[in-house]
Amino acid sequence: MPSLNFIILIGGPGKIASCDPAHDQTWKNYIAPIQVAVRKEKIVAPGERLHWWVYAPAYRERWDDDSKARATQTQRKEVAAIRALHANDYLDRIQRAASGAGASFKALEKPNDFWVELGKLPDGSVSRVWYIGHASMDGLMLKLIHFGACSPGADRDHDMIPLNAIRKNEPLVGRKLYRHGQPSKFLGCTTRAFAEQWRNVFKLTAEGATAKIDFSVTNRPSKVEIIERLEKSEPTTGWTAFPAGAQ
Amino acid sequence: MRTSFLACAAGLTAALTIFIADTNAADPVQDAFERLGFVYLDHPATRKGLDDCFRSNDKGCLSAFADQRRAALTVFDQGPRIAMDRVLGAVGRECASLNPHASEADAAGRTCAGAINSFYFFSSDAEDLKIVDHLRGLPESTLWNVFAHCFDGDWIANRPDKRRWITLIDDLKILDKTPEGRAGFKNVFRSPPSKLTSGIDLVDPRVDLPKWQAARLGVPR
Repeated sequence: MPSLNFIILIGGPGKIASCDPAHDQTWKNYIAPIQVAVRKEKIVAPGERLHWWVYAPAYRERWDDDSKARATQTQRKEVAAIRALHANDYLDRIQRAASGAGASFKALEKPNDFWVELGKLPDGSVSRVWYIGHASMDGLMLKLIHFGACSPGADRDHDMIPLNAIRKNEPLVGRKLYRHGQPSKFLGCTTRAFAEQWRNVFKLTAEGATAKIDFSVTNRPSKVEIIERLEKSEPTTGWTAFPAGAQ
Repeated sequence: MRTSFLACAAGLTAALTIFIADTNAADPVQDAFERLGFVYLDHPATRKGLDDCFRSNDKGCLSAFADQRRAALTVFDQGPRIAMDRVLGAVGRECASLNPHASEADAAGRTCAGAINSFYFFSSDAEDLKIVDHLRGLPESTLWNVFAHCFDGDWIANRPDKRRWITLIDDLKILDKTPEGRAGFKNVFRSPPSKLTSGIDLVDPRVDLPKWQAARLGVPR
């Protein structure tokens, strides 16, 4: 079997916003589920090499914000927990977690780096791509910001991998994908459109959510495996698979 | 001397106050484009999604929808012709001043993206031709910003004649400096349109909102 690359693109949180208690109350939302999935649920198949590609600006900004003088008690606690582990900051902690999970770590500085890095891998070597983070029907939101009267979202050009980027980058990355890999999964709210487009462009099975995913299920005790829990986290999540041959 | 200094300081303060007041006086149309360029996390994507937001009184979803609906109506508040002029004017102005190297997206970036998203509201052949003709007259640096940085959205799927856009891209050799190249951009126009949209069709000012929904959100129909 060839050496295959299993890429997990990890999006980041926004800064804590007191006006928006519904999002990103902890910086770990998109790290903890992957740690659990790798360590306890052995998601990596034989012959696969695991890669964590992390959107660094989000974690850098969150660290700076959480460690500022006027941070809330929750923020101070998170910073203290990192320092107790002798890590420099969130990114340093994630890098160590990646190493603990047997994954290589790469800090992405721009959304487009995702395509550039995929383009550098050998042809036919990418067995699957997973994403975990914020998303909308417009694409993957690698960092959340608040706009106007505290509306959460993202700027298309700065922190997003928009839907059309899949089609646009097909000439660059299409040949990198292994034709017999496992499904790509996009774990974020309303990633259905992204998953469908991924399948349409690359002719490979992809899965995504029709509606919201509740990442807080990670912290609840359960006998169900973590990825399945996320996929079924809300009655309306509507996890959907788009099979390769069913376009 | 002291008097003239004070007078000068007072004059400067007055001038500064006027300047600050002027820059703070928001242009409602520019503000509308900025809202149309922001990607709201909670914006409903489908009519059913919007109905669910009303049923469950999802405030995040309703406020995101109302925000963009109001923005679209503002762009069209003097009719479609003026709206088209506003869109093309904003593309020429805001996309030229966009700074793609800024660490955070700025208002110009959002406004440029919002103006481009608004192409969705102009889907007749004559309107599309006018957009392409206008783009052809813009400086290469502005077109670079339009394509390399703000090229996304449902408007691509509702172009009446995609060959027109493919020809435009063919002429833009500068796009070969992007990793995707001209082939990548043309790919987008060649793809079959997705059945899914990001929900911009819901805020289309050419389509009335049900009376009760408009009343509940406090937006014009």
